[in-house]
Amino acid sequence: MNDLEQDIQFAARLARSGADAPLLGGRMLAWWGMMVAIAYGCHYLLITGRLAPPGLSLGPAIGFLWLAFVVIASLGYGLLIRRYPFQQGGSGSAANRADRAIWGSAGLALGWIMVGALVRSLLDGRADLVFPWTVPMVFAIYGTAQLAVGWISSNAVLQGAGLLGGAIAMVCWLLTGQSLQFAVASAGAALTLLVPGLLLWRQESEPRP
Amino acid sequence: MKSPPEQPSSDDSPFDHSSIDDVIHGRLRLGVMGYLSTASPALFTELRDQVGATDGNLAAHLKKLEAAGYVFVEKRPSTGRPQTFIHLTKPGRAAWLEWLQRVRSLIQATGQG
Repeated sequence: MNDLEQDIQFAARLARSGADAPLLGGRMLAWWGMMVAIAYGCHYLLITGRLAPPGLSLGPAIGFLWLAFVVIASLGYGLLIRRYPFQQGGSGSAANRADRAIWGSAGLALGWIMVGALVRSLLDGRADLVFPWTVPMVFAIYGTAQLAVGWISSNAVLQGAGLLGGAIAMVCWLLTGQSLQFAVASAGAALTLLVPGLLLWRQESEPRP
Repeated sequence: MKSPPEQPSSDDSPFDHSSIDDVIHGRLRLGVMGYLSTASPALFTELRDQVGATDGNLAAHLKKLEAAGYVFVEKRPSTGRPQTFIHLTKPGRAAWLEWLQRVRSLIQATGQG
């Protein structure tokens, strides 16, 4: 093998190493998955009467729940962003840049939906009118984002999570108006966000090729 | 001692060896450009580990690439030591693609492609 061939193979190996860098958004996915699963779970417990905060009727209780979700989840996300593992290497790979762009856009879309639902609920004085309609939209966005990142990174776990997110969105449309919708949404958030996030997070520390 | 075979000249071959970009055409700089072509920006330490160079050696080669406008070195403040990120620039990506094209021509011209 001549020097030129060796040099080309060296450069090609490094190019592949950059392209195959692990996705670094696992901790973000896991965080949001955990928070959304808890919030939907609490919503389910509230509307079924299994959880009854003293001195609060159902409408305000749901309003406070989602307000607390937005505040706590956003604060935690802010802390996680600061701890984004740049030192891990591969943060500049196409898949990681696409991951940040796709979830950044999806996060904005989710924020617009949630803020709109909160404002409408405050105006109505009750949260049970609007929130059931947001659930399928939220899962459609989760599914689309997971699928897009999964395709770009050729990650089968994310592709599966994306398809599952789409399926949960459809089921949630069918369950609109039923309390079961929120139990399904809680389990769905754990399966489409939390579990894939934990798996990605674990893969970060695996040795690179 | 046997002399190396003569390289085809630009007159009888589509390949012109003088058109190979000398800034890129060095083993370590090739590695840097190859890695940045798929993962840019990259941390200085990440790049050093990938290409298997020392800090000083990599810094010297990055200076050549930066002088040619192929990479951009950015220092970001961080808790503790500032982090140094190396970006592949647009001219750098164009030069890399051009280098690949030239080498492909070379391989075809020598009948190995």
